[in-house]
Formats: sequence, C-alpha cells, structure tokens
Amino acid sequence: ICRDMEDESEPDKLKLSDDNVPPREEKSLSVLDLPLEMNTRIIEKLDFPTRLALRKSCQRLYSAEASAKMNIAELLIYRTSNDNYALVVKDKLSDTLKIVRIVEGVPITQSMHKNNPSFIRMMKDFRETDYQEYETPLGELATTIQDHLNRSTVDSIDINGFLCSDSSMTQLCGLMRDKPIHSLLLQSTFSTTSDDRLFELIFCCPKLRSAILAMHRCTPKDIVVEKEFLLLATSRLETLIVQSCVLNGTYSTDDSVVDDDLLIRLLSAQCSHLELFYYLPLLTAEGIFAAIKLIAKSDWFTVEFKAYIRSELIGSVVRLLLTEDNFTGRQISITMRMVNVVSSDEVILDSNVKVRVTEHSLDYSKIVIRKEPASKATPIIMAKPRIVITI
Amino acid sequence: RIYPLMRVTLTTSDGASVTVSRQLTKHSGFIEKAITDMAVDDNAVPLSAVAVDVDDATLKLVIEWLTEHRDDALPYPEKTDEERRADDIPAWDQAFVQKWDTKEDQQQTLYAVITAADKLDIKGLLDMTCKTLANKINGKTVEEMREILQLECDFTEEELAEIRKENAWCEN
Repeated sequence: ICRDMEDESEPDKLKLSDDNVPPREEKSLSVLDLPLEMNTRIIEKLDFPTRLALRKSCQRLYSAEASAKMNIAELLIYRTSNDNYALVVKDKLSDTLKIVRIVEGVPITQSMHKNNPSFIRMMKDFRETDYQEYETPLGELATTIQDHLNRSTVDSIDINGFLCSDSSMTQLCGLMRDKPIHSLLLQSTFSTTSDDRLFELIFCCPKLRSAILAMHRCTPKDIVVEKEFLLLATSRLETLIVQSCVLNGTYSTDDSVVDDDLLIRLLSAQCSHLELFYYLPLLTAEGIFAAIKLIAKSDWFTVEFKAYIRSELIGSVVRLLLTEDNFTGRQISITMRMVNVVSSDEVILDSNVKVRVTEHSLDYSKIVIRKEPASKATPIIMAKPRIVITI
Repeated sequence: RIYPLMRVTLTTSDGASVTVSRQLTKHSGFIEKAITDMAVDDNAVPLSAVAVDVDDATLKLVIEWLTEHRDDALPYPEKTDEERRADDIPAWDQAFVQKWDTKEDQQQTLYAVITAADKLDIKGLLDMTCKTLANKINGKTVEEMREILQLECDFTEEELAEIRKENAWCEN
C-alpha cells in the first residue's frame, strides 16, 4: 500500500470523517500497556480526590501515582505556637485542601473544601496568630517543606511566622532552588545581617514573578531593605511588596534609603507592581510628582505603586498635579474625605491614572498611584479640570 | 526553513507507506531526527522513507491531527500551568476524539494514539490525548475507574487496608 496523504491542490487538509479511519489490527491495549511515564503524565492532570481513588485501582497505578507530581496552587505554612505549626495545601485542579496540623509533635491530616466554614475559621485563627511570639528557625520544618516541594509542582508558597536568620535563609534558598514557584510570601522576623540571602532567594527560583515580604527586623539595623536589594528585585520581579511590621513615628530619616532618585529608578525597572509599605521620609513632593508622571507615561498595561510618605507633602503634590501642563485640561478629579482624623484625596489623571492619598497621622500618609488599562477606567467627559471637595 | 511541498514517505509497522509534507512532520521530533540523521538533500522529493513503529490506522489519525495543527508554533511550549489543566482541549481536538466514540474500540484508539504520539515525539498530540484520558477518569470512584480502564484489582485485602489508611485524611 502506498498513498499520498495530501492532495497537491490542498496539501494539508483532510476531512474529519469516520470513513477515514481504517480498521485497527486486532490487539487489545490497556492503560497498563502505556509506558510508566505516560501513566504519570495522565495522573498529573487529576485532582487530589481522583488520585487517591486511583491509588486503590491496581498496583501499577498505585506506583505511578506515587511518582507523579501533584499540582499545588498554594502551600501555606503557619507557626501556630511554639511547638506547633500548620501546613495547608491547596489543590490546583479542585477545591480540595489538605491540612496538616502538628500538635505536640503528632500530625493530624484532613481534607476540606475551600468553602468549608471550619476551614475559613481555621485560616482566620492562623492569620491572627501573633507570630512574633513564636520566633522559630526554619530548620525543623525543612523536611516537611522539602517533601512537598519535591513531590509537587507548587505555584505559590507562603511562610508565616519564622525567624529568618542567615542560616535559615540559606536553608530556604536550598529548598526553593530551581523550583517553578511563581509567588513567594514571607511573613517573618529577620535577624539576617544583610539582604544577600533575600536576594538569593528571589534569584534561585527562575519562574518567580511575585515576592511579598512582610518583615520585621530584630537587629539594630532599622533599614527595612537595602538599596541594592530593591534595585535587583525590581529588575527581576513583576510584583514586589515589602511591608514593615512596624510603622510608627520612631523612624528617622536615616532609616530609609528610598529617595527621589532611587524611587524613579525603581519605577523605571521591570516591576509593574511595587509596594513599599513603610515610611519613606526622604521622598519630596517633586520626587513623588515625577513618579506619578513616570507611571502615567508607562508602557505597562497596569502599574501600581504604594508607599508611606510624609503627610506634609500632600498639599504640594496635589498643587503640582493641578498645574502640570500635561495634565491640565484633561480629566482631573480630586475627592477629599474626612473620616475622624483620616482624610483621603484622590486625583484621577487622564482617566486611567489614579492617585489616592490617605492621611494616617500628622506624620505619615499612604499614597497609591495606579494606572489601569484605558478600557477599565471610568470615562470622564470634561474640558476643564474639576475639583470636588466632599467633607 | 521547511518547504511545504517537501515530502517524506513514512512506512508503518504493518507495511503501508504514506507520503506527507515536511510541514507536518516537523511537529514530530522522531521523524525530524530521522531525516536529519539520514543527511539527505532536503530538496529531494520525496525524501527517503522513514520507518515508524505505528500501524497504518493509527498513523492516519496522527496525520489527520497534524494536518489540523500544521501551523502550531514550534517548539511546543515547556510544561506550563495550562498543560497541567485538562479542561482546555480545543474544540477541533474534542471533535476529533469524540469521533472515535462511534467506534467500538474507542479506548483502544486513544491508547494507540497516545503510544504513537509518544513514539513519534509529537508533544501537542501527546498532551491532548493524555488530557482526554485524564478527563475520562477525573472525579470517578475507584470502581468506576476500574470499569473505564478495564483494570482488575491486584491488591491483597491487607494492602487495600493499608492504602485506605494512607488515604484516610481525604476520605473522611
């Protein structure tokens, strides 16, 4: 038999028809005839409950399941007390959650649906635990984390309530190295001597796009993160959120490294979502204004920047915005709200750039600059600037 | 550069020969490697025959799929989030597989095409057929799975009890 499968006039088109399928030779195939690699490939597309059912089907598929990667959307680790912790595994392919609680050294494992009220309560308790009371090095948990990272493809990992010393950070880098993790949340107390390990952590995961660092430094060094770290992290990540667990008036200007020049450099980098949720007293009104203009001109689809700035700058920033030629005559709306002692200003520039300033105290205010895709923005049809003040 | 009119003749495990364009075979890592190894002039029409360990019936299905996907980007993307999902099979591919439902040996056809896609190193087809099989068993009980996959339980009662114990966290 020799035939040309393609008509020269229409070389690559075949019709979908039952008639095209010749009879198959007599040989009964089974899923067990497929190579083990194919079995695992199929199993990797199954959700948790199906995989567990499959394990009971036969010896071969039991073994295949054991070697198939699990798909984990989120791996969350919480320190719940001095000796106890909880690990929550969210299945990527179903709404099933695996919860492991270590109580007095004994693991208690159960599964729940993500909407189960018990689970919602449990997560609330985990999040509200004052982890600073339970500063514990990562060491004892390394095996548990490694087991999950080796057995699974984990998209996101959240580690809450651990003391990040130089040694535990080195350990964490080792665990996460070359893993396809997209997102990292680290809510921890840092006793590290520098940001080198933090930097290594971000660069050791090639697919990491987002890092959320909720940090508290328990060292004499009050700087939340160093300049070099910020520059390198924003050149590597799409989202960088740094939150200081301490936000009060005790910061002096020496505590911050973020000045106008650095802010512009950070906003000019790869990162399209930057939050520095700590006090940046070195920023001036001119620097913030330049940052707003930079974001407005940005080619990124969505850009967001949040930070805490000096409250005394708000008036100057708003004045600069209203007098800027590029913005005058376009759609500008300022809304000021007073809620107890908190006021909030919102400036909408060019219909898709929004600036919101919320005064938290006489010392510091939160500023949010956001540029959204034009299609999502609220259209404002006005020829002249409009100022609305609501008190 | 692959010229669409270049031809390659494939000889099947059951003695048939099929001639197809290089535009289709470029999606098969196995065939492309065989052609490279032969070091023949790419302009030869047709190229020397490449033997494939796939029967004629299955190869015809493979070529039908390749014809539809001839313009797919190469190389096939590395394992992504999407690849791990099983509910995103394109409509044409779904129709292509559903067509086999009219055959008594639908499951057999699926296994044969998975095996062929593996042997010929056609990543897109392999991924799609694995997803199809995964969809057939996702959400099923062990009894339903055994029926669909025609499996016999080869565990002892003790082994089953041990697995139930291992699975207890989810089954309770």
